[in-house]
Amino acid sequence: MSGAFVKKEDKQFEKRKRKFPRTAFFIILMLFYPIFHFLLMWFGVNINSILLTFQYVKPGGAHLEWVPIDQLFINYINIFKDFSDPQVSSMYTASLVYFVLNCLITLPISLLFAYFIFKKIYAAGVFKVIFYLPSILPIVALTLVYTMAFGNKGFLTPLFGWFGVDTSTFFLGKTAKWMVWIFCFWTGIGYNVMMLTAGMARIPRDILESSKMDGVPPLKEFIYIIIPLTWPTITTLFIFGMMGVFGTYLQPMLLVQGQHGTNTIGLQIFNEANNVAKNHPATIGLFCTMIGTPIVLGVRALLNHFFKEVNF
Amino acid sequence: MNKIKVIPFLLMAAATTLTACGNNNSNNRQEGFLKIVVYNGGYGYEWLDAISKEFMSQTGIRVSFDPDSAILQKIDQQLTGKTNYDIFMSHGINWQNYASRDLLANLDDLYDEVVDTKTGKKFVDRFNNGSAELSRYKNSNGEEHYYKVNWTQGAGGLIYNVDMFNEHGWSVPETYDQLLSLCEQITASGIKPFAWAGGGNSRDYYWDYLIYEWWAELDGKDNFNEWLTYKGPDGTYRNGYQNYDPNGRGENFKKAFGMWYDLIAKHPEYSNDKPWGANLIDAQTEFFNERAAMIPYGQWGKREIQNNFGDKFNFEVKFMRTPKAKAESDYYNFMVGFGDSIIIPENSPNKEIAKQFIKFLQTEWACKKFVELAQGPFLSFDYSDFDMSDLTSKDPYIASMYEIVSNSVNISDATNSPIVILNSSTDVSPWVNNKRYYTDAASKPNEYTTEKVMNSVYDSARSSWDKFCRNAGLQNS
Repeated sequence: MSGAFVKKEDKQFEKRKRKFPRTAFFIILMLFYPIFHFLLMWFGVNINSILLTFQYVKPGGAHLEWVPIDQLFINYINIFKDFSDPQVSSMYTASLVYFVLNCLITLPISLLFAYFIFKKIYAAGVFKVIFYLPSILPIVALTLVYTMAFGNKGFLTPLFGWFGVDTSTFFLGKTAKWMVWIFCFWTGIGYNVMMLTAGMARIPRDILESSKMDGVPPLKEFIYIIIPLTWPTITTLFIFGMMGVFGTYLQPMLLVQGQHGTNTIGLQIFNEANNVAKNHPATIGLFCTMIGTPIVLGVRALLNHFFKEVNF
Repeated sequence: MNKIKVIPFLLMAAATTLTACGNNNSNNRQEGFLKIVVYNGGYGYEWLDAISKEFMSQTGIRVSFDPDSAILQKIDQQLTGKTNYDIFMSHGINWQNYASRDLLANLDDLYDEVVDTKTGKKFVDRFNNGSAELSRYKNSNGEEHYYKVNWTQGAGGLIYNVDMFNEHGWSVPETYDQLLSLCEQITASGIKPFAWAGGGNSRDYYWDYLIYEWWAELDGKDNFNEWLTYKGPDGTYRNGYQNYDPNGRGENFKKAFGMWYDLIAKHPEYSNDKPWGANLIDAQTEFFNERAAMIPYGQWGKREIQNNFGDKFNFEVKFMRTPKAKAESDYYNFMVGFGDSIIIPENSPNKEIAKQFIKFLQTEWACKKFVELAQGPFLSFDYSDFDMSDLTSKDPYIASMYEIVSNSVNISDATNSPIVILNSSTDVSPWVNNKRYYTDAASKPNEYTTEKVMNSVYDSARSSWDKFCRNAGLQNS
């Protein structure tokens, strides 16, 4: 009897032993892609950029070489020296504006519009499409449409003409940066509205019905129910908005070629990427990553503390 | 059993992934089969087709070419990896950088080769305007060799409507003052003197060509070339920003811009409507439809405008010799695209036949074929020994271009200064940080006066110069 029991246990153990490699194999298979992706697409791609920050153009040379050990951080020191150039400080300021624009203007307004759509105001579906349309079109097409509308002899020129406004200088001088910001707002709001309405749609109906039965007015519903329950989406969009400080470059490039004080960190890196001295854009990029990563992570942690995460 | 089935599947999947990540340049280059890539721009590629065919028929060497407008984005990878091409022809090739990294074929033997047995002329003697000297650079060992061949030469300035001039009895102006008077006359006839574009994909930099010509004329060719070294008055690079001083070495640059300002910014009636917002097609339309008498352009202008409209001009066009700043001076011509390059990669398996092809380009037949089919531009060789009458009698535009290239003091902004090579040329040459003021000055002339613009350029140069020097490794030089 006991012998039979031992045999049975042995068999089960053998079976488990046989199963183990399959499980391990499965786990390895699942991990293969992310690890491979990380090694190739992150480490493999970025290692060159990191190494570039330790290279420079030797006096009299025309290509990059390793910096001498006693000047190991020369490129990083130069980044600080660059701040004395008003062009450079203007570039950092112009980039920081995208934090204000994306996080403090576009996002709150998107939240309001998303709520209106969620509340199914008149023609909500149409508004949803109108908001989202700019997000699905290529940016090159959008900038073209935008300049054709507001530029010289644009199709909105007569409309502005009635009010005595000359559109021909909209993309020049001080108004140029406003045109870029308005474009970013126009194209950014659709994506935010879409994400937020999707987040709001997940809120259980019974919570909303219960608040309605308790006579909660829409404003209170928005502040005390909708915002806390869509907070994870808001946090994500806020982080995306912050990253716009480093990543915005196509809009100023396509609209005004980065002129008139619209040059950004991203555009500067893009423009310098074709130069021989690639150490400079690589160092700007790494410098911004070193500054930006803790800020983004800190803000994320801070935002996560505002409301307790609710699962529904 | 199942494991056995899974293993080949995994191997296949891994192989697929790795193949996708590897070099997709799987075509093995054939020795003896020349492949050329040419920038697909204003010159077209019909000329290369004709020249390749003739070269093939004469030598039996097979040649194919690809026109490519994205060539500059690919060139680095091509030179450092496995190249698909034996010859690259384009503007904007940072050849000095590639030469210093030993990525280009040494062309010393080509330059030393006798190309005309009767006269004993060598390849190096087939160039003028200093283009052979500009093609030398140091390799990684510090040895100087020829690493490129200059590609084109031509003119920058104004294209004008010849029939319109004849019809109204307007004379082609020889001096700046005559140009001012002419503009008054043209405007009185209800026609705009100029059509230009400062908006969209801005071509306001076409005005640079006139300004450089006036600047070089006022400065003298030697001083202008000295300016292009980007060294300061004390001979150091670190003080190079002083070249922009509007009250010092930049005085004539300021004067030249001032001439433009007085002509264009002060006289909005001389230009098409709100040119600062107009795109290139708007400007071309004004000229093509005879609402404007002149258009600032480079040598490729006639071909490009006709191509854009899919039709030939209804009138005769010519390139105008840029009116002189001073009556007693010589005519100056800014050779747009004089720094454009022909290079052979060091990793090409066909270096010798590539050199043979370049040698063929300098023949009279090839030089003339280029002019004929590119419709105006010239290859960067000396044309003075050629009989061009068959082309110039057929096409007044080519005739005008030939006249300008042959009988002017030719200048260019091509330089081997490390400040330009190691920064972007648009950062310093000479509008600092690529900021031009044509549209600002034309739209707000009271705000952007010559004085203010030039002070602003100087301020930008002063504040950014340290960065330019650091990028070039010249902070202490």
